[in-house]
Amino acid sequence: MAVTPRTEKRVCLLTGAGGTLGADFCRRYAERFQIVAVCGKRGVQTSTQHRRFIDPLAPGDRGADPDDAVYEIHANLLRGEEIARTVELTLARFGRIDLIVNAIGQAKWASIVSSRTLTATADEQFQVNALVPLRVAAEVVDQFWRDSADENRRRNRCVVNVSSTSGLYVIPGRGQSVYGASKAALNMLSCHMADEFAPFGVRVNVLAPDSFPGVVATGAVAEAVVELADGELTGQILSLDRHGARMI
Amino acid sequence: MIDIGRQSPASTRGLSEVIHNRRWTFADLPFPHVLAENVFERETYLDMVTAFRTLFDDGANFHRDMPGFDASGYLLAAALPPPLDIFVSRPWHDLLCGLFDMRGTGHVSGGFHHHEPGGRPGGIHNDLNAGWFPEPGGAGRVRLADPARCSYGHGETSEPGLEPVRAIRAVSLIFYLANPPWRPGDGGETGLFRRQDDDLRHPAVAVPPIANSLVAFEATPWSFHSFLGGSRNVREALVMWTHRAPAEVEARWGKGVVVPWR
Repeated sequence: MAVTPRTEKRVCLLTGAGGTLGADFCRRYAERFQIVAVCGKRGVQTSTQHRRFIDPLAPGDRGADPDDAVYEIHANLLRGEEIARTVELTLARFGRIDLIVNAIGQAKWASIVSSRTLTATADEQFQVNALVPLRVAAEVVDQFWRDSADENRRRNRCVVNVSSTSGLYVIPGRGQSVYGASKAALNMLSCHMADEFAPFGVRVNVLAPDSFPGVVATGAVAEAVVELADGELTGQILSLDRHGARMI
Repeated sequence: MIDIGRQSPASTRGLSEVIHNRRWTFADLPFPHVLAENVFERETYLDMVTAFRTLFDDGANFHRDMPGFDASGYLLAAALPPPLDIFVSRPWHDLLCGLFDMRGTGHVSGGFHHHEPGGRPGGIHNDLNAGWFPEPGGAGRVRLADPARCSYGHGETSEPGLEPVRAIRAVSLIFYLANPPWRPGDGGETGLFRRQDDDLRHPAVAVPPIANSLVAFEATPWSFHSFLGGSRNVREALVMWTHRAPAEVEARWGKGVVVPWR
């Protein structure tokens, strides 16, 4: 049965919505996109279908336009069935997915030589940083995008995977070996996704920012995500550091 | 009779002058509740802390005789020094009730709770209890529980001719004040739960005891909550309840939902 879309806004499936970038993205762009905020235990900080802002001195005025509320889904994306459920729920609720922003990430930095933490957490770091974005995109392709080439192109559908400059260069002495390798894997996977998704009109790009909010502002990262989402590029890696943005 | 009316600072200055944050969060899960940080403007809040410290430092005010709670407490009373008397003003009562679209009777009970570091957690409960007051409620005034005239829990009185009034808790408020800065792992949160037999270690929501913040909720058969214990620091809070008519509760949820005092 076809689902009647509830919004004309682009439907954005955002992973890592409870993190620093995810929270900032929701705050800035809830009016512009219909955001489906996928998060773990820590929820988003904006209005959701279950949470809204009120003025205690005028509580009858329930505040924000409900159309600007993000749709929050709590899911453990390390489990394949939860990815499938998330995509099904999004499609059942909004009828389509126009944009995937994979802001999910995990950063555990430690020495290869002097710490067991690194090897103990390496599997999960690769899962979170590289394989979850791959599986989320593959699930959306499987459930919705693969047979909708014309509509995909008309709606400029795309994936933006948030990587890191740590996936572009070796940064010595910081314990970023596994983190950097997992982000490098994400970069390469993204370029392959761009190649394989092109026939049905879906673009895939990577944003590789330096540390935020320490080196670059979180808001600048969110804006760069939207630039890639609104543009026409595919198969590209956009680096963002203190000197600005540039293609790799 | 403890009758708090129109002379409190909150009434004269207006809550709009002392409330700093006008963007409170109303959340539906695990049951409807309201969260807010930076509730009062800084000067008012600091004056509250000073007044609270004065009460607390006079050890006679706090009593360690709270059944089921590993805490010591001080009952809300008419003589609260300003600006703490905001909490026993009618505008504050009406604000709390308004959050949940209800009109209270004007009856208020509560007190300040002091938990030592490492205090034991409580049990999961819903606050849907009855309280007894020496006077009927009424528009424009707050009537405080007055154990000198009738017991809050059972309505017993030795005052000839007094006919205590029964009311049911309507809105529960926990306002945290005078606490040191809180970080994840510091403990001492208030846990909100979906069910009464949930694991105390895994609340659906854990509200940290951040100074000048609050959590409020309507007392319903399902407003399950508990102090989670394990605080690294002392944990100070004001806890208070507005009330509503028993008939209102019975009409909404039927008979037998009010939890008797143990």
